[in-house]
Amino acid sequence: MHATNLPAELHERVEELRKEHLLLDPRPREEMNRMVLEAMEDVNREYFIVMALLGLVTLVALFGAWGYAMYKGLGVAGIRRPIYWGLFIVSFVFWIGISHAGTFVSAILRVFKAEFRRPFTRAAELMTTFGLAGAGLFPLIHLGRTWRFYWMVPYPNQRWLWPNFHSPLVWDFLAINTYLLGSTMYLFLPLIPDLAMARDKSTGWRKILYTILSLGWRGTEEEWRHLQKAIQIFAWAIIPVMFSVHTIVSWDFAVAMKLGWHSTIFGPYFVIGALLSGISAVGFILYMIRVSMKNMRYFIRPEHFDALGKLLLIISMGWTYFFFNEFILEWYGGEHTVKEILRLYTQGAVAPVWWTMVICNIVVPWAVLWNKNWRRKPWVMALMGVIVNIGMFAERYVIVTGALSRNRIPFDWGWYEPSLVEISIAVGTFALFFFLYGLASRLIPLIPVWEVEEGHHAHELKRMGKGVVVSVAELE
Amino acid sequence: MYGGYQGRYEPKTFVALYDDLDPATQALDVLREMGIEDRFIQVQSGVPWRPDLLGRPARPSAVPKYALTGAFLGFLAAIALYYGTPLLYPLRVGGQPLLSVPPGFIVIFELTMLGMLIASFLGVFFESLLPPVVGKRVYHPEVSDGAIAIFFQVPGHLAERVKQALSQTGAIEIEPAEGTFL
Repeated sequence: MHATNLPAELHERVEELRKEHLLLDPRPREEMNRMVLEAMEDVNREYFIVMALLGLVTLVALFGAWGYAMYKGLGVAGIRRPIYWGLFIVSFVFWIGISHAGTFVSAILRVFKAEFRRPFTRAAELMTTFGLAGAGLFPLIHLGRTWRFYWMVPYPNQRWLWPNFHSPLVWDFLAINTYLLGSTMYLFLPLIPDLAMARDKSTGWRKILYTILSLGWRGTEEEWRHLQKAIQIFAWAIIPVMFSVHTIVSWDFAVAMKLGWHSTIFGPYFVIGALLSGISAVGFILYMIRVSMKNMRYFIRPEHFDALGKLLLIISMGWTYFFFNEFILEWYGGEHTVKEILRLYTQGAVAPVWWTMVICNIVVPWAVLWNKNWRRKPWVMALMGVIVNIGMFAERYVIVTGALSRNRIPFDWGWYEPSLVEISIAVGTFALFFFLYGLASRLIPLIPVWEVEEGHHAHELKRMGKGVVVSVAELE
Repeated sequence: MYGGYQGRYEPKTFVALYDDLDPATQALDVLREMGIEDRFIQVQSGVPWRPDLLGRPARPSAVPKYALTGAFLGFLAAIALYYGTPLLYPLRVGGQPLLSVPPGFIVIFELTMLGMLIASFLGVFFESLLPPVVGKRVYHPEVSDGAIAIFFQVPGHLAERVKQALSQTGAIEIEPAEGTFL
């Protein structure tokens, strides 16, 4: 709808709507391409310094400490009887949780045709891939003798003895690999048209790289038809895979006859926790992209933070529901050891971590996210991303190490303190994640330009009565 | 359409560029009215346009068939791994069954989905003939900038007439193109 066709009193309203909504504020495709490519090619001194620092921390804190642990043996970690699972497994569950962001934001919002998803699906999908890359390291680190990892791969040894498919660890292997492969393919498919755009607009080594990666894409009707059908299949299929991954991770705990772990709602409780940490992390990443990359303020606007904030609030409420269910039933059961575990959580040595979890996952999100003005502030949503993820890390720490420290016989009680090597490896994985993300931000178009343009075509302003309303055409 | 034509009847390929959907669909109507069949026309665009919006024949994608085939192969692989491998070296532990049903669902689910996803992914490339193996294929880089490119083949002697008709539909540019439609 052209503003010139409107009565003068509505012009101001139209301008407001355009400023507010990316999909009502179209720019020529050529200009959007240029903006995205400029952001990718903006490799300045500050970027190099940050990347060098992240690379160094990854090298020393993650790979250095891991190498040291391999050389010395797992004795350098703080895990001791009866707490055999420590920070490595906490970090593993945490990163699997982060990886749920991409699928949730991209696939579920795509299935429901939530239009606000368009500019940031790829940024979220990248989190899935790199989150899984980080998570995938921890089972290898936790093995101690990493070089034996191939024993989990389904192939027989010389006596035709295969891995035990009844083992949750083999389920983990299958689920994580399915999700990693699936989400990487799901990241790549919608990327192809944007890689072709980058191929047409780049020179030098970038042109060679994008020519190879775009695989000769031309945007013919056939290509679009097959691509869209595949994206549709992926969007539907990756959702149950996503649910299965964190459910199976929860079963690593729940299938054990261990008080504090053996729970029938661990599957959904873990899945909603993963969504909570993943969605909040998307807010943080979008803020970082918006402030650190050129032209991103046009694509990522307060409306997107607002929408994420609403999602986060609903998911925080969902998490609280499962958390309370889990807590109240265990507490009501009155089993002696379980009572001791709950006492340890709420009043014992683990209490500071447990209360951090409650404050970060319930109190802060509920206090902040009801307010639209706060949800619309990018820095508030970034802060929420940090706070909620501290809460979710605390939750995993409590579940993994807290429950293990109290068993039926007091003889078998213990206390866990993570060693410097474990802390170093955990910190190093954060550096690895941001390093990989920083690298990818300059190599692939983070904004799916074709999806944004499609959104521009689908949206228009329509006069209705005395006002204007947004009208959305179904083009997908 | 072109069988037996030589010289001035030899087919020539052109591309007409449009910056909007409406003139592009009008141009497609003009091409059809001038006797050019849909199979001698190819539309390239920077965003996906549904065939009914372009007025082009709608053909279902074969990717779902790949997905189903992949899912079936994944299912078979899971059955073989879960129910077949324990029989190769039976280890009976604590009187528990060698082949239990419920945990099998997990392995079957994961491998079925993996098969489906991999096959769907590969299906896109097989069906779209990507990456191109031989020969040059028609393409216009303006497509990346949002243009709708209509490639068409006409017998040489009709070329000027068609170009003239298309220029009336608001084409930004009409120029010869090289390559195949594949």
